[in-house]
Amino acid sequence: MRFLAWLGALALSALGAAAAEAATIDDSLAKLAAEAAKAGSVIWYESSPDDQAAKIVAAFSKRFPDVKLEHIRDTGGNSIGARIVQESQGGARTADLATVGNSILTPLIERGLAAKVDWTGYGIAQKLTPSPYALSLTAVTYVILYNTEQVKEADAPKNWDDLLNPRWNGKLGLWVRAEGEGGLAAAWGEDKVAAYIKKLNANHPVLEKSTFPLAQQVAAGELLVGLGIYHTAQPPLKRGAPIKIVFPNPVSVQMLYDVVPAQAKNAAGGKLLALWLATPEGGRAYEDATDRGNPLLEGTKTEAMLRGRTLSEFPPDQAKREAEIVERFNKLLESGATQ
Amino acid sequence: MTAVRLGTAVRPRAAAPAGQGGWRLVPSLLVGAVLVWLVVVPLVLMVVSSVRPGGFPLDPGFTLRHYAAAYGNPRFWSLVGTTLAFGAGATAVALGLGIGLAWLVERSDLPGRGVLRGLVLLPMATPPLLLAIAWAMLLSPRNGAINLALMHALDLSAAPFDIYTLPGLVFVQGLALVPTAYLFLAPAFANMDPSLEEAAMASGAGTAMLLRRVLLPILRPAILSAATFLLIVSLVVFDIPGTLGTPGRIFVLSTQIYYLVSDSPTGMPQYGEVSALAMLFLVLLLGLGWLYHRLTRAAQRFRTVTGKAFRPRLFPLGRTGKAAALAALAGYFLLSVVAPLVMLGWISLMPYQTGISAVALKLATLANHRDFFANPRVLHATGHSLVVAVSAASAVALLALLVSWLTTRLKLPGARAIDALAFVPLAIPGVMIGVALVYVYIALNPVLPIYGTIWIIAVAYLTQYLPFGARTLDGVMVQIHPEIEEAALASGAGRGRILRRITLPLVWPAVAAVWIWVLAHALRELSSALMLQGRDNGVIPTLLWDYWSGGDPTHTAAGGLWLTAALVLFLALWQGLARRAGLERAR
Repeated sequence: MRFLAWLGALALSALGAAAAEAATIDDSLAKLAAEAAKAGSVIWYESSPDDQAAKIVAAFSKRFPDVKLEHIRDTGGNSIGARIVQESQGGARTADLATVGNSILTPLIERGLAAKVDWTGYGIAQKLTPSPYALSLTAVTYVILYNTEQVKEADAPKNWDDLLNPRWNGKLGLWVRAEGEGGLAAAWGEDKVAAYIKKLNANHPVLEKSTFPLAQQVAAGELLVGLGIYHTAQPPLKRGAPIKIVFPNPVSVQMLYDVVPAQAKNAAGGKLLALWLATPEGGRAYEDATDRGNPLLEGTKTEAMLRGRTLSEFPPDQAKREAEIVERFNKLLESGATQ
Repeated sequence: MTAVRLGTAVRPRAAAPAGQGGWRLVPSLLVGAVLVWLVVVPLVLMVVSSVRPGGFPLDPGFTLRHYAAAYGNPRFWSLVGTTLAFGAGATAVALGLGIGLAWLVERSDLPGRGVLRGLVLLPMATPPLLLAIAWAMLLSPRNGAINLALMHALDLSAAPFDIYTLPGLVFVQGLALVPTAYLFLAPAFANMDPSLEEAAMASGAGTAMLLRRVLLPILRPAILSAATFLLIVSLVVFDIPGTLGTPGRIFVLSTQIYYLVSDSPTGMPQYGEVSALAMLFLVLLLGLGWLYHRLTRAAQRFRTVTGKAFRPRLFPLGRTGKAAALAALAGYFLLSVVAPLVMLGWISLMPYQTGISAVALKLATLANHRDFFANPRVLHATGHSLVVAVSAASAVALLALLVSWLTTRLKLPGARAIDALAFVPLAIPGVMIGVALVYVYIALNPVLPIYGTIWIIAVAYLTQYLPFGARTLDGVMVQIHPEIEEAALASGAGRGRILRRITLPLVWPAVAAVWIWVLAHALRELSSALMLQGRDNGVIPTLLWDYWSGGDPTHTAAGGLWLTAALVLFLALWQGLARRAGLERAR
């Protein structure tokens, strides 16, 4: 009985803490919205296609009708960072918020182009903000794909080592950039993954220049299996293509962070957007539009999907190490070396 | 047909005097200033970028480590070897087919030349990325439609073709470049004076001698122009080698540049190393430019134009010859247009990318096409694309005409420098032109606010496509003997009037060809438009890229087909106008 009472008290306390956090975030959002509305439009550099971004903008505008949000799609890769550097150097209007990975975040910080923000002071949980320059938004999640018309479920690869099966010789697709394998090194260590890539090379993988066409190639039956990305497999999957997704263990992920550029004209607007995207409401709006959600944010499908799985990722302060590893793995893949 | 006559061979004459006094420098200075703005500024920023530790031109410091990284890379020479093999192969395919097609269409008595011209140029309308995707689906060794059909029909155990090989890449890139080769060569074929051929044949020259002593020398400037241009283009293009080379691990220098710009794990584009690598293209281009000048300088003694009217003699092919020629044209058309467009049409009807099969046919839907037209951004982007393409095409045609006129007709002081400058952008990767334009127009924003608008894209295209315009018009202009202009000058006509009344009508078909080529390329060019994308300057290629990079090849194919249809319309219009202009002139 006493145990139950203790449990009840604990639950009430947890609920109270959550409510207090929510209240703090709501207060912060209200204050930032008032400030942002006075500073003009909010410019957001991010890589989602325009149609997807339009849904996020619509949800944001519904919540904050006085704040105008403009999304500029950057093409991913390294162009978002380059654009911020050039605009900042030239004194032009740049983004108020940019969504970038570890690799772009680090040079922006080094160049003094990312603003430090005390996100926890706005009511954000510490786990969402591994660096004062970054607030977690979403993750790139690496998964195994297979064509269900040509591969029986029983034969389908379930884990990393299953991709080494000679059955997939010449029918296995990999992204030419070893980002997924790079993320795996956080859990396995660099040398073990390097040895793994050499074994993969023995299976003569077909390299694709992006994971979007890779998923399409698996859908088309051109490839039987592939190591792809969860959200880039969604377009064919949603259209009824015969592909299925398998989460290997550990799951290699790369977090994407929201960063407020140091020269943001409407920094309050940038913070407002980042903060809203880190709430269950904003996080779900983002995930519903883009099919990629935040594994650290409760209430998102991604968090539920990855709950209990081991995630393998490099934190922001190890970005340089991660870059070196990915560079090494890229060369291994391109060379096709097996020894 | 334009009233031009290629007469008998004459010795080179002294350059026509452009006039007296300091005003002679004015045209050079004006055109030179424009070229400095368009070409020298990006070039300087590229050179500066190559020695900046951070790779951005405005970064502090100095280093040579980008050169060490670019040229000390153990893979470098292997990349150079593959790139040269790819570039030479694609150039040979494009040039060979281009010469054959230009001769058939312009100099043989094949019927329906207007239609044939349009058919030859039609592949230009398909964006190279879509062309590569279509060929991958046709000739993939795993489930390419043609391979599967041949395996089934001939009971083969393995696919007969593999598009993911160097010959496969050369084949597709070569086909994609044929219209460019044709546009370089067709005006030169059309301007060939039959009297030379008749004189040679009357003197007992056989076909081989006619070809070697008369035709090739006359065509040499145009062929060399085309070869130089096609070779450099083949060395820097990315879409086709990137799409078809990657699966088979065939990497070229442009793949490396793409990697350094977009995929480098360092998080920032490695502009320093890209610029250092681009120096190789620059040196190569200048070397080829020098070679071109040496070879065409010698060829000028065969430049023979007088004021007498002529019609090019059309070679009679005979019934069998015509049938063979039409079969060859049909084969070209089938490979370059029909096969890829059928594949794109198929993809555009599918809910997801899948091969041709009876089962998949049940999935066919027009939804992708309906969605494309229902997308409000399509109309917006179409308007932008048209304004950008027409502006860029007109500006390139005008500037190239002036450059060519100044350098080959007036021979003013600084002409060589102007000629070289007009060719240099070919060696500057599009991404570096984009980097330079971003800096320049951010700095100029208070007085010239075009950063983030469609006009900055138009400026980028003007720079990128100027080399094609200048080289095409050079090749034609050099064929025209100055004595017509000299006669006009002696009769009291001013330089402007001579340009308007004599030179321009003579080179008009080539100017029109430049215009339509730039228009077609500007309507489909992606990399600069992406680099310079702002809040409200989306164009059709960025819209298609939005679909493609969002994992939607089916909408990309639908949009690509409609883009092709629009370009076909432009080509038809161009042919119609050209025919009408020709008829009016004939009257």
